[in-house]
Amino acid sequence: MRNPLPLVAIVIPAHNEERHLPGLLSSLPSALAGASRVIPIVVDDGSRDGTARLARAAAGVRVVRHRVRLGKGAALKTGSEAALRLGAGVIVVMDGDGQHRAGDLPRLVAPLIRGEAEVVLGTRPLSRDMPATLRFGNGVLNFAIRALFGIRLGDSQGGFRAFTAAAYEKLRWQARGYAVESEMLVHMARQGLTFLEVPIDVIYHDRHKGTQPLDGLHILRHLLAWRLGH
Amino acid sequence: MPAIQLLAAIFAAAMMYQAFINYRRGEVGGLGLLTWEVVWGGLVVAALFPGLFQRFAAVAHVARLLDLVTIVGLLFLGSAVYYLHLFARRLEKMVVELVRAEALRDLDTDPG
Repeated sequence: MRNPLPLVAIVIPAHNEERHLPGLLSSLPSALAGASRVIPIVVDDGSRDGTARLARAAAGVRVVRHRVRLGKGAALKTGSEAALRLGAGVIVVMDGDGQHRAGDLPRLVAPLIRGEAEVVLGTRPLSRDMPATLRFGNGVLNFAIRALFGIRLGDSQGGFRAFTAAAYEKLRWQARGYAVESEMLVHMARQGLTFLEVPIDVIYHDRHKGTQPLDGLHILRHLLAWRLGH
Repeated sequence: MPAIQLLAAIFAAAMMYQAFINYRRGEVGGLGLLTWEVVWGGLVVAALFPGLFQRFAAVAHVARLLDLVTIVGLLFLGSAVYYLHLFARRLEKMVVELVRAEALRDLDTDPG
């Protein structure tokens, strides 16, 4: 007997993203090949602007709201827990600032539906479009993750990823901030989850948002702590 | 009496009063009040009559009472920082759990 088609939940953490969120939500597909349904879940992480209102106004979007800002990692976890409650079989996480393209969704989801991997990582091109600090930081963290956990990746810090609900149970992270992407990889390596990297397009709207050099140092400190078993 | 001794005694006495105010506001309990009054009261006495504590300095094998106070102060500060760190972590965890529970409760009530 064939397995029923999975519900795909797209988890979008958003903090003060009223500028980019409506465009992102309107670009999301209402159906994906091999999926029974597609449900976007916006996690408004303590925004002070109209993020939650705009997300609620979008058709078919579920909205959960953190009363205070907890950070990207916490927002992704809340969104993933919401996805499980809604019965999702596949969870996609993508940034709320519109840097990821909805057009890449099928490439991330299809390998999971076909059972080719448990986790799919979107890999950003290391082109000149990527801010120099991000390129450098990503290189350092890629090296650290390879050296400490033995995973060779083209982009260890990308935020556009997809995983099965069963994989999420093993990935469940504690990081509240930008260390979440790295913690996912640590759990992925330790739990022996199968993964694929797929190239994605990225548009950098605001170079001063997202991971900053200090966040990079914070992530590096976390990586060392995780290696030491904490 | 050197001015610094007097200043230290006045500061410690002011902190004794502050601890009492915090007790009256219900911010510390009876045991907390007693602990802080003993700590600050001890410092008032040590500031005004350092000779009384000189014997403790000798027992601890430090030359001066000031050195002993500094060492004890650093130990106290270190343990206070550690306690506050743990407390902040616990508090942070509780806030995260509460905020997440509230957010997911909204999901249950939101028909979508």
